[in-house]
Amino acid sequence: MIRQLTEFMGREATVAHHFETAEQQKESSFLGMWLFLCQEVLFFGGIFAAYVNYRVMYPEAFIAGSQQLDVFIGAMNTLVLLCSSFTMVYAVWAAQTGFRSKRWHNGAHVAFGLVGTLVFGAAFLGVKVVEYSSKFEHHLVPNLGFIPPVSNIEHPEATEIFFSLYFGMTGLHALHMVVGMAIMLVMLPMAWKGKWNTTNHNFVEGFGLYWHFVDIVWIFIFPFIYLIGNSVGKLT
Amino acid sequence: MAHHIYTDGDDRGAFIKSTLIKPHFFTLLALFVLTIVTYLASLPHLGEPLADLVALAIAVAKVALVVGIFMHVKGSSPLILVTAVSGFFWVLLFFAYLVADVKTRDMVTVFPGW
Repeated sequence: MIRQLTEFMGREATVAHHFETAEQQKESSFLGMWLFLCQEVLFFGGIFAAYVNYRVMYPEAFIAGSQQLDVFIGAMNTLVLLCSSFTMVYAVWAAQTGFRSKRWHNGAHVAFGLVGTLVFGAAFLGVKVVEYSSKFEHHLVPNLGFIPPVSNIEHPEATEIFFSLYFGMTGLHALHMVVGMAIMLVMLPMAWKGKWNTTNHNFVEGFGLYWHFVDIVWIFIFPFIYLIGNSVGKLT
Repeated sequence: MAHHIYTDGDDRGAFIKSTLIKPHFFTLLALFVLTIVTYLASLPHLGEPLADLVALAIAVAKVALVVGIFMHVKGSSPLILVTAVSGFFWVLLFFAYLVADVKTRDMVTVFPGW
């Protein structure tokens, strides 16, 4: 399985018999990736729809729930994820242009981009672990001894719905990151060996699209989970 | 960042200016600024729905930068452009109907027996 996967990822840049040109092959590859991302939009769209529905039903509970989150940590994690997107762009760019410095060969630069993305991704997930553990300490985990953090609002018990969605949305997002990071670990040695270069970089570019999509999901999660608590004063 | 790159497998022997990475770097800076702006815009307790609309507008601007520059949709073929834009457009339409539905449920009189 792993061998087949690595063969697929690093296959030579030959034009398959059902394509007329390499350009057509590349376009088909990206079209497929974009269609995959479109269904990912719908996948996350479903949970965002649940969020909209319950937010309209329990606006105060959602604001009170959001006020329990650390906005600074959320903002820092956003910056970390944006940096990981940039290092991914660097890996794709290095493969596309064949960039090499005096000291390092082209494959090393592609690998550096991937390592940077892995490091920033791991930092993001590390912060998430700290955040999740504080929710356990403060009894804010749904179905595990949840205690509403506020009482003087309408439906304080609905803060549990907010935290269900918080864990659901950020958890699914983190799962996508873990999958992406596992794929990157397989890609690393292949990148170092120069599998991806000026004539063969469709896989790195396609993977880059996936990683940027994960970034896009977070761009929406950050304001609607972390920042809505700021829309009014502190609820108690 | 080095000022020049050397191309592998390129027998022209020329090196290309590494300006290609610059737009991506400036995009990263713009995304940083927009993240700080979205945080600052949340501070004055704008209330609902203004706070949501401001946050949504900034998020859409950030996504446009990521999709356009980082994901190279800007300058790609019309087929990819239409696929990418329609993916987000359909979900936008879905949310427009969803919000219209949940926000107006109390206004609708449901007659007994329906």
